[in-house]
Amino acid sequence: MRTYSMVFFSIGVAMIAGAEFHRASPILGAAGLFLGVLWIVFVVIDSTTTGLTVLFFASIMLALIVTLWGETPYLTVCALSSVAISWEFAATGRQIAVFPKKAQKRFVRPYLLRMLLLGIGGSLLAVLGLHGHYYLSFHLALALGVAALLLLALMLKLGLQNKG
Amino acid sequence: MRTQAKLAIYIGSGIVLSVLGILLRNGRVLALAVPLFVYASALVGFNLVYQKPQISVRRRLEAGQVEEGQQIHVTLSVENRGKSAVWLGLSEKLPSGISVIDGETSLLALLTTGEEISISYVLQAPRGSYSISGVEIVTCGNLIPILHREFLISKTLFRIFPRIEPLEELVIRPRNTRVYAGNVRAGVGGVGLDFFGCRDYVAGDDIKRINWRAYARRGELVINEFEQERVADVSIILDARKRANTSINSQEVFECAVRGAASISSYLLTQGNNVGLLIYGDYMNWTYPGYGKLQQQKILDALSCARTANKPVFEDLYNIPARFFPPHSQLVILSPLAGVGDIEVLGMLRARGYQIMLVAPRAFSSQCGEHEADTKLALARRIIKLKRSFLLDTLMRIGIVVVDWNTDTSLSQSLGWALSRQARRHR
Repeated sequence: MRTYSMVFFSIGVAMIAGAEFHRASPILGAAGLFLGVLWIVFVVIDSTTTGLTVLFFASIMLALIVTLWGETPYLTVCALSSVAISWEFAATGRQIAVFPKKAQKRFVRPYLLRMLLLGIGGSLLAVLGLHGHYYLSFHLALALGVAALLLLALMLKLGLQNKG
Repeated sequence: MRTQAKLAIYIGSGIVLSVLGILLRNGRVLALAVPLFVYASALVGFNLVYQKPQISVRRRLEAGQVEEGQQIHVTLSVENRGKSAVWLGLSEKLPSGISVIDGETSLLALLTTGEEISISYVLQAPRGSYSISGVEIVTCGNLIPILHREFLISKTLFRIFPRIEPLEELVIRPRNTRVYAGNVRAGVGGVGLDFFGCRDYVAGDDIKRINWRAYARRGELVINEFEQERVADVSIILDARKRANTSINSQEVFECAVRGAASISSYLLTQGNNVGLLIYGDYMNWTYPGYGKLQQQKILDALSCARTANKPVFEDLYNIPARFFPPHSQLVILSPLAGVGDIEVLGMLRARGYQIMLVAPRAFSSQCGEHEADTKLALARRIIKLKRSFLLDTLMRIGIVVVDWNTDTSLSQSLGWALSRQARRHR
């Protein structure tokens, strides 16, 4: 789990850093690499989830800055998905750390598959959103936004009720 | 991390990015929020479709109570009684002090409907009373890879009793005994094994007991009497004061005292005596006197939980509740002794007519410390030995049977020495 977490985070920040170095923006590239190194250190020393969550937020901030600074955010979206997968892996890894290594390995394969599906699905949806141009009236867009927000709130309420 | 916290992070980040995107009129920033909302939706969706798995957990212990040093085999079985397969992880949360000798205490596997999986492990623990409270279950739904964690309560209690050493002989001579036949010499003539005296013949006496030689001398019938053997009331007092047990290897000394109390109580109960136990230190832990195996169980239960404590009210032995003990009965005190104050209390108990046997465990052998390289340490040990020897000699002079128990040797051996010394003194 820790290895997968490190690999996915490294992929994510390498995407950002590579793109930034390519665009001759070494500060953002170096920041990405620094975050990657920090993540690896945190995972190796078995840091608390809080530390990793802070790094996750830092990665989102970096992605935001890169997007505002840069051109097309395809790579950034993919990088963010990768970072999210990495964060999920780190959190899950902590939850199942008490179980035997052999069993963990058996668990990882289906888990990885599902996480990848989510990651790819999320990235594709974002890319689709960037590519597709839909002309909506202001009122319709507002209504759709409010409806989406309400739907999310309803799901959230029902979901948390179900869990409780 | 809890699902709610994850949701809060995903949704919070997504909303911040969305608001920024709208404010900056930047679609690319809005796009960044999409993967985060996808994860959040997955989490919420999972919570919607999540159904608590129907899992039954059973824990079986090979034995609920064992002696120190023995191992307990534990089997944990999990069965999926739900309608769908589930990834299930379970781990035992064992109390501290328990060591797992063999086997696994956790399991992570895919359980199909009706499937049952068992894990077994062997544990060993020091003396005490333990409770394995719960089994931590982690389940993972099939649709979305989110983990759910819960705690199934399946409380199991077990006790580790102190080791009982078989004793060869333990002679007690209380002034009062009970009326039932036993093994303690009562100091009363009647039916028994040891010769006690002679008395005039009374009609109804067994003619087999007529002393014909005395009859030849006196011309009157004389009957031989033997010393009656009866059961006695015995109260065992275990000194659990931290103050008394603050010597070298104090914990080891206390453990030896606990084992000694278990061995003595077991021996006396086997002989049919009425035995009670007082653990003096943490609180007034009094096991009311009784007979037989049930009483043995009660005493072992109390001893398995015995701990040293530092309570000001029990700092010295003055608060020993003498009213608990039957008058003129036998007291067996297991204590390394804390000082001169203890001697005073034991003397007072002796003066009230109790027969007292003091079993004083010591942590170092008599030769220990004589060849120490560190002269200060050697001197300290010598002072401790002298002080102890003074205390024990004083107790012997007031008629208390003292068993100076070197814990390197068995209690049986030390009791043998003490009793032979007592016999010599009586001669």
